[in-house]
Amino acid sequence: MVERLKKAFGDDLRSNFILLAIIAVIYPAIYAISPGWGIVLGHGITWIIALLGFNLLFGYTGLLSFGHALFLGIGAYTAGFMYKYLGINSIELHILGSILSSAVVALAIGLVVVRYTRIFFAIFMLAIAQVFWSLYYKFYWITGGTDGIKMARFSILGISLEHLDFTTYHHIYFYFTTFLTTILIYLMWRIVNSPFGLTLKAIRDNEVRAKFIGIDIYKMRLYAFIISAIYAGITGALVANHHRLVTPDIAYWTTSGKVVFATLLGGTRIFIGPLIGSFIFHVIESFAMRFIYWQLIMGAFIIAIVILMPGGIAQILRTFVESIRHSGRIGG
Amino acid sequence: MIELGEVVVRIYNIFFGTSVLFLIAVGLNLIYGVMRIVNLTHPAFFTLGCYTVAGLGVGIVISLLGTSLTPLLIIPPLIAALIVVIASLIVFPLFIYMSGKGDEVQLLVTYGLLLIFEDVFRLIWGVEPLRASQAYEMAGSLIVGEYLIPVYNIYVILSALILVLLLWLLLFKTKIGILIRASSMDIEMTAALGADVKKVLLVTVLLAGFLAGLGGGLYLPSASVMLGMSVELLVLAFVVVVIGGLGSFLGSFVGSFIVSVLRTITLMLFPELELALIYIVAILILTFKPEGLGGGRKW
Amino acid sequence: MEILKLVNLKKYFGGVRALDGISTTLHEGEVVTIIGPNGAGKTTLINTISGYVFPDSGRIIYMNEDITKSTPIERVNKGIVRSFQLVNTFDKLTVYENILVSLISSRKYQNKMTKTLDSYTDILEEAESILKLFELGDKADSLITSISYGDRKLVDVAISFALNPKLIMLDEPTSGVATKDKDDIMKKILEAIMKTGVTAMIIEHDMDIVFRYGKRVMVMHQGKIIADGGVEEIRKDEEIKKILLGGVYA
Repeated sequence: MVERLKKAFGDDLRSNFILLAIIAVIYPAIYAISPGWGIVLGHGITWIIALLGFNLLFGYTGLLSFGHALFLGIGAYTAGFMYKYLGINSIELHILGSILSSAVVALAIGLVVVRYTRIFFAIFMLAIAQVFWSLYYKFYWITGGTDGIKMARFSILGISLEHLDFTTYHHIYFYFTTFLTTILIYLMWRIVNSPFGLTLKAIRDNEVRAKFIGIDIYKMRLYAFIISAIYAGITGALVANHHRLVTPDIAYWTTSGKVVFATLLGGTRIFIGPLIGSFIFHVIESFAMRFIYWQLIMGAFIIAIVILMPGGIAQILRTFVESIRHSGRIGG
Repeated sequence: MIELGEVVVRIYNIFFGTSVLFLIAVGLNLIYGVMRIVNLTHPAFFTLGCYTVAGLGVGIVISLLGTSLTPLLIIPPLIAALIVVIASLIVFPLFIYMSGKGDEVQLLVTYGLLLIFEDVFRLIWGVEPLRASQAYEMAGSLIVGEYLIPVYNIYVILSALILVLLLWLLLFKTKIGILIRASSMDIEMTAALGADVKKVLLVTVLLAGFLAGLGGGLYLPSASVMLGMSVELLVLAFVVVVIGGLGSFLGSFVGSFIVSVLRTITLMLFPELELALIYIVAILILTFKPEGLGGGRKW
Repeated sequence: MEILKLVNLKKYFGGVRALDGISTTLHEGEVVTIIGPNGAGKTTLINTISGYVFPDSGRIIYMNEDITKSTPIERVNKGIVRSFQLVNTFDKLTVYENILVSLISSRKYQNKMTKTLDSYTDILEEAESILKLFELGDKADSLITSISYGDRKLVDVAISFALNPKLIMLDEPTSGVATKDKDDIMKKILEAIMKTGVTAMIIEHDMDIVFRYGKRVMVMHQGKIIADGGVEEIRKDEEIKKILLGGVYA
């Protein structure tokens, strides 16, 4: 009976943890060869959480948000304000704070936005994110404006990291984030494979029928929205500490575009998509940064992916892996 | 105390803002009405119109016809409209691909185009804001109390009025206009009655592009154009369409007017909260009158 | 016992009288087949009882409770379930998942997000028995988009059955299905109805199916019920035959 719930490659926990383990193992070696690439891996590991949250909303519930940067901003500025105004350095507290602030904001906005069509949702989120960005930008005497908030090195378990060399410091950041990501991946995996998760997929596929089997589609969407906001907020707090600078850029529409693109690239229909997407995106980004028409590339890629390979890289990988498995069984 | 001059200027501001926003909103509503596609790229077409005039149109006219005013009033906006119509033509196959597919396809493709356009602007015209207001200074300004109202901006308001009239005539008094309106009500029925649906779609997209390009071309001399403007306009156009009603011609006007009023008020009192306050009002209107004040479709 | 009582239901769309004074009663376990030409108001009737549209006047009494103003979700929760004329399933999910999600809703498990599905053995077992009831077991792991149209319609009906309904309304369950499969589909549906003892209203257009499987038949025409009786007496009625065969009848 439980056989029916068996997962294909990418949707199972194992493939996700294996990928994470591989990255965790090769990271120190990569860093030793090139600290720059080590930092890119640091970006990669940081953004998985936000992309997972985004995909809960998009891949599993069918709600595309062009304003996910809003919650990244909330998380980042929560960490920033906690440091600037309360002198709090502890990364654990930053994360707890951003969970709280993201949840509250998501509840307020979610109550408004989940009752309408998915098109409204997409554009409204873009617009509201811009509204928040304009607030961060204009109230510069609170937020630091475009100069931003400079952060000191975070403390972990109450221990200051000020006196360490940069390499050790970055290693600590990387493994702390990997640890956090592992927990959050496991949590998200349980969520999408729970009755709630299947309900979300039903709402995604056919909201009228979902309503007619008695599902309160608005309440379910609201829950998904809040969870995805919390995930994005956590990444925001992490980014604030990784860059040690919080500027309005993190809340700008191009950051939302980054989230959309990276998730699409990795694959929105398979659980491992956001993991793959985060790393591949950041690798491409560091190459493409030199080629300044990066938005043109992203835009063209988004259109190409939608038309040609909507399942993203994860889908391609799955087809590859499944074909190996099958050829092994049948004998070629 | 508020003096008469200030009142006149505020009223002028409201009408000017209404004119500009209307030219964007009406194109958005046209495409949604007929194709059921919310075209996120539409504001980028308006911006393209602005860039064309600033970076190309004014220069061409001056070098060919000198600096006299009249050709500058008419030719650059038309050049802008032409360029945007051509751009719409190039993008049209994507529109055909999108219609009938799911929401995400439409959203992602038009969003991708938005990103592409932003970098195309940067590629062709660079990162600095562009203006062309110098060439139009000869039109002079009206002195109202302590304020100056550029005569050119009055011209923009009048042009918008004429365009609304022409558009109304087109939509309500010509055969193709009736086909467009019929398609926006029920496209299958219109097709069943023998209309060439692809032609109607093409005309709609080109018309929307024409309005966007013309609008951008008219607008630019009064201000400047810069990167990121497309998204700012999208944010404003969206709230116009929410307040006025999605797919409604009247709503395009009502929404533009109300947003202009709100902008003028908030810029007087709480300038930093301008966008936030407009959106709060929009949310309130949405909650109590979901079809908007001009009567539109469900969101 | 009386499951459903309709009192003088009226629904107008502009000038069209979709329901023009419908009054009838259904008892527990009854299976009523509703027939009539296009535009007779059959689908509007189901839409009104399920809460998809609200009547302009009249009342709907369900198990002695006036539900005329209840929302669709409230009615589903009370056991009033419908299926749609055009197949209406969750297309990116498997047959199994379609039935499972319906069970999740019926047991109010949709809020449960911390334990994975495999720990909810009660609904997993029930999904298996529903699969067996409709003989969909071998297709359980197939995506909806890969099975035949007839099977999709069965899944549609199975989703409705998974909600443990007391009153089920099926809108043309065999429409669009290849003729050779229609009997099979209808038989499976009726067996499921018999086994569960649910009260059923079935709109059907295929007269062969109606006369082969129908028991109580209700004939609608221009928003009114013009006949209501056993299938044999309806079959013999010449007037009704004229109305059904003449005019716009698919």
